[in-house]
Amino acid sequence: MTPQHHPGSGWLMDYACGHLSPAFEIVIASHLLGCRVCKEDLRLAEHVGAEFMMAGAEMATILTADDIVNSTAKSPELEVWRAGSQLPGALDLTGLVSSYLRISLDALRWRGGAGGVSIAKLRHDDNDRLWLLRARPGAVLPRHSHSGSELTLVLQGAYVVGDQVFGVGALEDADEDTWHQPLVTTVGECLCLAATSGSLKFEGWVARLVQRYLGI
Amino acid sequence: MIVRMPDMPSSDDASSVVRFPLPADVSVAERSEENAWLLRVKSAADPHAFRRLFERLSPRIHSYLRRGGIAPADAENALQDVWLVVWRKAAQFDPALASARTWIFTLVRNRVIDLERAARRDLRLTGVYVEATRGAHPDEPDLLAQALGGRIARVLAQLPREQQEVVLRCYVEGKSQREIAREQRVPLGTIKSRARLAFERLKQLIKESA
Ligand SMILES: [Zn+2]
Repeated sequence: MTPQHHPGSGWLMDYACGHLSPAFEIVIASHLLGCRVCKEDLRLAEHVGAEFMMAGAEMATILTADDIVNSTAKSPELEVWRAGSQLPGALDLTGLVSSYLRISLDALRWRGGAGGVSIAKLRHDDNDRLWLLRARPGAVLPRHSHSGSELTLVLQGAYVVGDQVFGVGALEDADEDTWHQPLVTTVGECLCLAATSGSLKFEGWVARLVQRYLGI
Repeated sequence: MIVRMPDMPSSDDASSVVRFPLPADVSVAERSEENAWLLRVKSAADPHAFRRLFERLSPRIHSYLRRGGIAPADAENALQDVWLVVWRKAAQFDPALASARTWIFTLVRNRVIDLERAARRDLRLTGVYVEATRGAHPDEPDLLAQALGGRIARVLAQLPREQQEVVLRCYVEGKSQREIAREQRVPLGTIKSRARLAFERLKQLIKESA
């Protein structure tokens, strides 16, 4: 099953070049786990990156091939193909939280709870934060127009905005469109992984939840 | 292709533009050579094939790292790490999934991420971070490599200037779409649209040549 909502190509270009902060990188990587369409696009973005790498002016290096061949140095801890490459196209994203993020939902510090919605912060690097959101079926999430960066990936359940359903694996890029309708969750508990940026203005729905429940 | 230097204020002054290197047009043949060398390293730990690969790519990787703002000593270290991995873990290279240079590009990229996160100390991920370098159809040959060649440059030349800028700033200057938006004082959504349009053109080219 291929998700219907994808990150824009700019996110994949950033991912291919290693430009993303951990919070955004994790959300994009998690979407890639279950999305063949974006995996193909990522291949292209990396291919273009390799061509640009090769296109630059040549710059002499001190290192020689013999240094490498004869080296007795310990192998660097550098991932060759990262984990996503071994995963099948179809993926149980619900396992992601425990296996990939290596966290237990119950061990997290959940905040909020009013209206059936709670939120927990997973990490914080500079102004970028990674969150996990949990909402009861039928919970109504605040919604607003937005202009900041916010990526939301549905791990479990679904939410609906107008006539659009964001199901498991769907990635909502808060910049893409501006909506004013509230989000309503359906089919059981809805679990989302979200990255937000910036600390000055809270515009996306995740950020608004944060503002409401954490008072920041 | 001409774009402005990032730190310069926007103006029409010709002195504030700079030429960026663009991909050469001979890369299809070069890529198959590189694949062959890396396969020799993989199958026979052939130091001669390794040397050919090293000598072609190393100065370019080094230059790429320096362009991206990596300090000289870090660039040398990163280079050494990448080549150690290429030499010792070539067994994991699969030409059906990516060409040699694309595989090596991803190694370089991963090293750069590590360097940047190490510089910020506690930002390092714990090795569980996931990515999908492999394609959706592992049994297919590297169609991208066959199709694109040095045409990237020609496609870029056809793009409106503001789309070219997004691609070049991303790949040549190592800037994220968010950084580009901030620098150019343009809404992030605008940069995202430009990136998407530019990328669609690249995809279209692949379809046409398939
Ligand atoms: Zn996708």
